[in-house]
Amino acid sequence: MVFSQARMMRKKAFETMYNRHFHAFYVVAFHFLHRQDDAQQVVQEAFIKLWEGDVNLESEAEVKNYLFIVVRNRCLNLLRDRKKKSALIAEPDHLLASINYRLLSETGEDLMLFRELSEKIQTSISNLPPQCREVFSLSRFEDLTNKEIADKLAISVKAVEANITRALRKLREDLAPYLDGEKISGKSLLVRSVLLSFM
Amino acid sequence: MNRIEQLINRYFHQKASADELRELDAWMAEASNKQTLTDYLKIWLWTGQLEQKQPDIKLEDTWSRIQERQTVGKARKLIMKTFLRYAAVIIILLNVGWWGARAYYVGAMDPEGQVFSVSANRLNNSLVTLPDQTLVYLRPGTNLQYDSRFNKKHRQVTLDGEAYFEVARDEANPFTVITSHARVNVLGTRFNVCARQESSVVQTTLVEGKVEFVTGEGEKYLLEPDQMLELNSETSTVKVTQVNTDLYTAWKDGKVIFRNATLGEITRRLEEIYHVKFRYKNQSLADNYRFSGTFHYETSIGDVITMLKISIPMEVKRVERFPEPDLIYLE
Repeated sequence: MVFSQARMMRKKAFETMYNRHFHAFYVVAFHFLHRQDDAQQVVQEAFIKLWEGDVNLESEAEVKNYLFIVVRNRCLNLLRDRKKKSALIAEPDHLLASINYRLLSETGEDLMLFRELSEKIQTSISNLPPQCREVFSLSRFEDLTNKEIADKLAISVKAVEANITRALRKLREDLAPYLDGEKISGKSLLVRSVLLSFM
Repeated sequence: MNRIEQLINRYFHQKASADELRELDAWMAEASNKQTLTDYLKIWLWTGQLEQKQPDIKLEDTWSRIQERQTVGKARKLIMKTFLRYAAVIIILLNVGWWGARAYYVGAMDPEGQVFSVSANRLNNSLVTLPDQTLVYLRPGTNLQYDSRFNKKHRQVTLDGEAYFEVARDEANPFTVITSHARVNVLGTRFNVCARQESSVVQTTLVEGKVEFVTGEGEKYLLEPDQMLELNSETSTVKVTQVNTDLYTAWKDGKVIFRNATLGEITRRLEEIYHVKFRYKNQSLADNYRFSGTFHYETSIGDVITMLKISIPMEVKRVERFPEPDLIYLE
């Protein structure tokens, strides 16, 4: 009975983490893989490994760190396979896979820092000029394409792109102190050495 | 909006053409440029994660996959276990058969009779059926011997280790367990005997029926059900106590029961069962904390520790050393 109670508690913690983090990791996996099914599968498998692994599910930091390592490594493996497969036949795919591989392999767990920074990011977004803020929100939160946004707001696609670029530039200025992964996250070095041992 | 910002924008929206990607690829070859791109990438992803949305795969779906994997894992274990059990029976049969045949041919000229020896392997309990249909469960590492005269006039076995007996009833033909320091005479009954040659303590626990315990010096004790007798042959002392026999016989069903045991006692048992070693940072932890609970041999060591951690406040660190036993540090 004691045992089943422990399992219940662990399952409860797992559910909380699942609902809290699945989508965030999916966003990252999707950006690098560009395929919904691959991205979903990668994140699902990471959660299955999380359950089967020896991870303290009560610790937010431990869970995020573990998920990031698994998601990242699976994405890198898939990208490596794609690079090989597309080397001769499909140039755009090959280029994309190789750019993504390079970016992901040199970016650390601070890709998942949004939760710690969420207030700062939100403040920064709310300080954008009105149209810029609207375009950016539709793009990032409603997942509308630039064309859809242009139609909705009756402006040109070029203007949409310009607004998004402007928003990104402004956010980069505001968040500059947090963008250097080495400085903000003291764990970064540790994470990197853990990652290496996973390769 | 400059050219490169437009490229990055198109890259983020997955709209970039091969030419544009090539241009981006060339541009990011320079370290400072790559840093710029990485900055934008972080902001792009952070803002994308900001909106709290439902998981893209339902929890139930993932959970059923987890359970599927667990049952598959268990089934595989079960198949392996069944296979090992049959393999063990076949080996024992071959062994008994060989000795039997030998006894048959040699027996005539060997009045002492031939000795049969059954040893349990180091990992699993073994189950032996004696010629009189008595069942004996042998604990890992236990050795049981009997000779070819078994079941003729008397039933006599020699034990080194721990065994649980379910003796077939035959009042005309007494059943005796001989250990290095004592003897147990039996009618028909169930009982457990723990008598390791290297240890000076012999323990007998009676579940059902009646047994007579005879020490090396010839003192006799009659045991009632639910009694445990402990003989310490070094001090020649005998202690009979009323016990919960489940605690002493659970091993035959693959169960491990702890009743108010210290953490030190528990981890010593776990080391016998699992391929792990425990290390204490502070000995007081091993001596001061007590725990009661039951688990099955098939429970993983990770789950056992999770269970212990609920009632005992401690830090656990596991160091994998495959194929050496893993080290588990407790503090």
